[in-house]
Amino acid sequence: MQERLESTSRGQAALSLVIGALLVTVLAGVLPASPLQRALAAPVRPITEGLGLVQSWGVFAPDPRPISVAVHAEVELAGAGAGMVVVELPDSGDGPGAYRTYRWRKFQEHLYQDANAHLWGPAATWAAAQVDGVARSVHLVRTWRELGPPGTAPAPLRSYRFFTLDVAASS
Amino acid sequence: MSGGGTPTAAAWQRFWFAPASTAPLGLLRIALGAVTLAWALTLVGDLAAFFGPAAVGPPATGTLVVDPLTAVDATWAVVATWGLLVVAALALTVGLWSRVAAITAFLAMLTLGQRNPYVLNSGDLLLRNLLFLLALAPSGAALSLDRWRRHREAFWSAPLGAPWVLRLVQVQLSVVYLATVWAKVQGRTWNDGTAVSLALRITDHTRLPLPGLLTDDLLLANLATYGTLALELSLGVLVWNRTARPLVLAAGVAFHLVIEWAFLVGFFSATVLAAYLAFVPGDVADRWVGRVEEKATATRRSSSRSSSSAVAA
Repeated sequence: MQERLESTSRGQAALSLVIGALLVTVLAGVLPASPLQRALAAPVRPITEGLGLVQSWGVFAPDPRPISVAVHAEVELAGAGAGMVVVELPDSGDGPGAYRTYRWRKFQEHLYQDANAHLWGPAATWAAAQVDGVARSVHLVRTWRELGPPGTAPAPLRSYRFFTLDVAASS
Repeated sequence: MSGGGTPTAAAWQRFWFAPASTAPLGLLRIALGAVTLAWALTLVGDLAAFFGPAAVGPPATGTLVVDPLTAVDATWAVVATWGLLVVAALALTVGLWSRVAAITAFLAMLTLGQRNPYVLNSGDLLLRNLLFLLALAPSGAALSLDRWRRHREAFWSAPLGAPWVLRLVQVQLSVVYLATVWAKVQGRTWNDGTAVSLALRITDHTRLPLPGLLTDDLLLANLATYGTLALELSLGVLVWNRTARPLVLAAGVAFHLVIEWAFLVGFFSATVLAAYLAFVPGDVADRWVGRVEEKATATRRSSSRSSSSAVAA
C-alpha cells in the first residue's frame, strides 16, 4: 500500500505533507528561541511532545562543564550494626561495561544539580535499599573539582553533604 | 508531484520520491536493529533501579502517546516492556515483520525513556528518533527475512522504492551537526579554543584519564577545538555534496571512533555511524550486497562439494 502511495501524484502530495510536518518539527527543535521558532513549534507540538521527538544536540555546548563531579551516598545504619556504609553509583569499568556506566554517569550529572532536587529523595531511598541492615538516614554527598585552563594545576577536590533523608520519617 | 509542474516541484519530487535501491534502507535497518539490541541488553542489570517502582528517579510528567509505566508502576511491566524491546530489536535486525518491529522498538524505548529520562543522553534520543523514522519506511524491503519469505529467489536483489525516509534520516543527521556547531559557537571555550581540553579533563565523562600532553598543551587544545567545529560544520553541510560526501563521512567515522575511545558516550557513536548508512548511494549498497552474495554462494558451493566428497569417500 505504501508503495502505491509513493508512486502516485496524490500519494506523493499526502506524503509531502508528512515530510513537511516532520521537517518543521526538526527545525522548531533546533532554532534559537525566537518568534519564528515559537511560530513553527506551536502547530507541531502534538507531534514533538506526543512522540518524544526531541532535538537536543548541544553536546559539550555552549561550553563543556568546568568541573568534574561525583555523587555518593553515606548510609547510617540503625540498631546493633550501627555505623556508616558508603554507596557509590554503579561503575562497570571502561570495557563493555562502559555501555552501562554512561547511564549512571548521566544520572549523576542530573543528580548533583540543585535544579533536580526532586531526584534526591528517590536516589537516597534507592541507596538505603542497597545496604545490608536497616538504614536510619542517608546523606547524599557531592564531590567536585574545578577545571582551569589547559596546563593549570588541578584544583583541590571538594565535597559536602547536600541532602539528608531521614529514612524512619520518610517510610 | 510526478515530475511535472514548476522546477522546484520537480526537484522536490526527485529528491524525496525518485525510485532508488532499497539496499541502503536494509543496511540501515540492520545496523539500527543491532544498536537497539545492544542498547536494550546493556540495561538488563539496571531495569529495576532505573525504571521500577523504587527507581532512582521519579517518572517524568509528559504528554507522550504511550505512557504505560506511569499507569502500571510495577517491575513486571518494566520487564515486559524491556522484553518487547529486545524481541523487537532482534526482529528488526533480521528483518522479520520489520514495520511492526520498528514501531514496537520505538514505543518501548519511548516508554522507558518517559519513566526515567535522567539516564538518557543525546545518542539515546537520536536512536529513538531514527527508530521512529524507520517505522515510516518499508525497511524490510531488502536484506530481510520478510524479503526471504516473499521473494526467496530474489533475496539478494533490492527492489526500488521512494527514498523519502532515508532522506529524512539524512536531514536529521545533518541537523544534529549544524545544531551542535550553533550551540557551541555560543560558548566561550569553543571560541577561545580550549573546549576540547576542558571536555577531556571531565573525569566523569571520560573513559580513562588521558595524558597531560593531550589535555594541557594549548596548541593541541586549539587544534582539536577548532578542528572539531570545522569537521562538524563540514559534516552538516558538505555531506550534501556528492564529491565531498565520501571524504567528510570518512573523517566523521574517524572522529566518532576517537570520541568513542575517549568519552563515555554510550551508544552515541554507534548510532551516528549507523545513520551514515543512509548516505550510501543505492548502486554502492547494491555492489556491497552483491559481494556478500558471491561469498555466500562460494561458501555454499564449497561446503556442498566437501559433503559430496565425504559421501563418495
